Amino acid sequence: MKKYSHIIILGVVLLLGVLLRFYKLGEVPFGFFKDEAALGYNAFSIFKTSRDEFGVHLPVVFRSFEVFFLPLYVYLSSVVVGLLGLSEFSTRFLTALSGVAGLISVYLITKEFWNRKIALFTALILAISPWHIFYSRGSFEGNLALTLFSFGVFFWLKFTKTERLKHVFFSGLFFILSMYSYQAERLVVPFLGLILVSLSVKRLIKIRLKLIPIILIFIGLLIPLLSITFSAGGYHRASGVSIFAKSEKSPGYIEGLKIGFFQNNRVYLRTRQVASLYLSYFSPKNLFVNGDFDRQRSVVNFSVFYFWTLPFLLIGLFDFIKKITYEKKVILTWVLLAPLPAALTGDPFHTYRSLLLYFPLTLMIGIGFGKVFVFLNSIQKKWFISIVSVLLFFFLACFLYSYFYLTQTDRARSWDYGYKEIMSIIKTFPKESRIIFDDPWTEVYIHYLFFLKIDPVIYQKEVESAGYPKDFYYSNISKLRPEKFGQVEFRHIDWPKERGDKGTYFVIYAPNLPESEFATDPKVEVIKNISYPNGNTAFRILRIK
Amino acid sequence: MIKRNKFILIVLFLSAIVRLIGLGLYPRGLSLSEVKLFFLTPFLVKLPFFALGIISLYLFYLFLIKFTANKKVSLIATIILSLTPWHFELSRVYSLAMPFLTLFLLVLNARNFQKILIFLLSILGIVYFISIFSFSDKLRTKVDAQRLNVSLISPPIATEIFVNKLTVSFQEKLNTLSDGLDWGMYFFNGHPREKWGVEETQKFFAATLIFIIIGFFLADKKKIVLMIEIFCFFLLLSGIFGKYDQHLLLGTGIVFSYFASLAFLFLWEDKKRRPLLFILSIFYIFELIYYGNLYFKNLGESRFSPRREIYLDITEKVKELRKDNERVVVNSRLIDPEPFFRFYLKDNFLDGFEFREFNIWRENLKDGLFVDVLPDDPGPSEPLYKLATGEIDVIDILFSQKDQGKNQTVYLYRYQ
Repeated sequence: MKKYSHIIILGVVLLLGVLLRFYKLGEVPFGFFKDEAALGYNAFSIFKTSRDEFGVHLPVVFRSFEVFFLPLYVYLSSVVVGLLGLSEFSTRFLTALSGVAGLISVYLITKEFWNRKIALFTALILAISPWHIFYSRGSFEGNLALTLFSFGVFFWLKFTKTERLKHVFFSGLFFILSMYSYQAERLVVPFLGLILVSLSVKRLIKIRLKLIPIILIFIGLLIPLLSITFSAGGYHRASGVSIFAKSEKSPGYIEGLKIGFFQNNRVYLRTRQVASLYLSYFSPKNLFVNGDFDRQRSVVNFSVFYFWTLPFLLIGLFDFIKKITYEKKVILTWVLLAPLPAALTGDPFHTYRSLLLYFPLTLMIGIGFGKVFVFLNSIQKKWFISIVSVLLFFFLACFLYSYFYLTQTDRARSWDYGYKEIMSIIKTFPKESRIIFDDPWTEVYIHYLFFLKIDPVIYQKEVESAGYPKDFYYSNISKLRPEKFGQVEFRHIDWPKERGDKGTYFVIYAPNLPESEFATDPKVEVIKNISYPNGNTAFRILRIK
Repeated sequence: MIKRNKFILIVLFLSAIVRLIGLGLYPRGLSLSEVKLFFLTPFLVKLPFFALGIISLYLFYLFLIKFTANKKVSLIATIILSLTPWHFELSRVYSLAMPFLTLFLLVLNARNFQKILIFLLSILGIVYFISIFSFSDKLRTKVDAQRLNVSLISPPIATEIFVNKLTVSFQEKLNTLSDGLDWGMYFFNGHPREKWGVEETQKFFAATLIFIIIGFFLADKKKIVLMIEIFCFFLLLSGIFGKYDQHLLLGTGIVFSYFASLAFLFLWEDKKRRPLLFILSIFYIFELIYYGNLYFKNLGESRFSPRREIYLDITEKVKELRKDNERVVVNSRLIDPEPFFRFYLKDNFLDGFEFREFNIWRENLKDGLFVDVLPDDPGPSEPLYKLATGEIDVIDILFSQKDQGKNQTVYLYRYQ
């Protein structure tokens, strides 16, 4: 392949990647999930005040509801939000950018250690992969972590080839940054690091003295992360979702039967459960057909990969195992370690926690393509390219339709659809109006802060007024945020009792308040019914006359 | 021609012994298909499937002898297949899977089995393809619902292209086909649907998976291709029949047992590798005993088991409580009670029995013995609702038993 045609194809692939990730980024997904709002608002708050929503100065770990998340996405996004203003687009910008950077990273890895043709195939497969498009279009800090991690692997492989110190430095730097981005990397990177070092002892010994300053820098970079390890915010996420922390019995436990070695053996059942969860990440049914069990994290009718790429994954995998090289060992280690964090949690096939896995699997699919391509003669190659192109664009079109239409209507509630419109209406209410959101978990407040772009200083003061210490919400996991912000309340509404509160505005999730409950009451004024994209009523904004 | 190994006779003999232990007793209860032969005993109902199980093992051995020309591999694979919970269980109950497996193995023992297999595979492929174009009313309703859902935001032309009977049917068929591609279905209890208890019976021991993976990479290409063909055959078969009988995938046991046997031999033949074999074998034997312990305590049944062990106790109790020629009214909400009563009472005519849906509060004729049912989580509209709250006082409860599989309790009572 001539160099210029190669560059043109790469350009087209990257352009396609950019288009699929940035087109209508602020509008699709239709809704704006609460975690996205939390990331965006905290980025806004950091930009404005260098403090998070609770007023903590430059935290190492952020809190979003009952979940603690790592800080890099927020800090990097604060620059974007600062430049572009607080919006859905600016909040999602970093993940889309990470997606595009991921294409570059996969291209570099395959070009450097396989060949340019395979690199193009792989970049193209990644560019159109359902999982990668999906996770590049929502504010998912895991996608940023994945890209950083992949660059870490690239520079490590580069180091093993060149034995240049700068590559070790960049590799370590990217790996550490990925640990500051998402929880899964906090577990995988140390294990991978140990294995990589053990695989390259000879190379490292050669430059051992030069490594000392780099190691010191790495330790320095890791200190903040280590310092939070034993704080509530540092371990709560891991311990909260771990299957070992859950009180529920393992599958196979039979109620009423005594515990024994050959019956209700808890060690055996738990081990089998972990093995079952771990292997579910390699199940073709999950990878190619079923997808994530959670409605928010899946696209209607699509899974992680297109089903027709399964044979190419098998060919790629076979090639990996048949003749094992150093690069392949590293990639295989990546594959085997990636599902660990997800497998240690009780949820089945959680695509977000196992995001690290799909990158090397995509790489294997690309290699599978390359292997088939090389095997064919020139006429067969033309046929192959034609058939693959048809499949590729047909299923990409199907995916895009599903993503932009079917999923947006079917999963609107899962993506917290409707709050943007609610807030745009609330904005028009008189300033002193009392507004109550039917929100038993006090989560809607973040949408309120985000869409009304509430000055972080004002909200921080509100939090402070409760009289708790600054890090209160980081050490008291069970305590939620303030239920009241000015005249706006976020709590459960007791409709029969409160329906007489004159002048009060109520925002209620429609299925929780059937029309029959208020339609005949002359005191209740329907300000607006907010509808889902399929026309069903999502929320009601009511006012008591 | 390789001579058969005399050890196969021992393997078959031991397999037969293990399968005959308590054949009529375990698993407890019978399915609707089994009780249709009401004049037989549970043992006799299950006996043909036991026989087919042993025949299928022998045919599997013969096929491998021919296919691999390796006596050891053939013998080990047969032992592995014999010990799988899947083959063991389906040799002890009524299931279409066992006769089908035997038939398939007969085909594999034919002289031109590879050509026949390709032919059958092509036929199945065509049938599967055609089945995508068969649109049921349910499918049409689904398409309409999806179209309606997107109608406000999607351009009509795009909706017609991407949401139609063909695309939805294709998706459904693909979902069904992929059931056979789930490790959880084979090696665990149907992960990821499982959350508690035994949701689906285990088909293979989890330790077998490691043997299978090792074996896959040891097999030569030709044999892998044939095994993939066999796997695809059963995958397509189950895809065509849908979720009617997951056990139609039993034939995949041929593939898994073959690969596992390769690994077993590979690890055995080199002393350095034997420690790994030893460790894996310990896990395997542990799982085997664990499984056997539960099975012979009647605790290995799936939540989706078609067997209704409740009828064993109810019919026994009815026999005991029924006065001479007393009228017995059985609520048909018990689900197909009549054939079960006929089987267990060994009475084809069931004089004096009425099988119908009834409501305790609306019965005019109150004489007789009533067999009724109350769901575990009853709503106020349930006829026996007050029983759950302890308020009912118009009847005398004579017997009650929880119907585990159906989340309900069965009551025998007479009016006061």
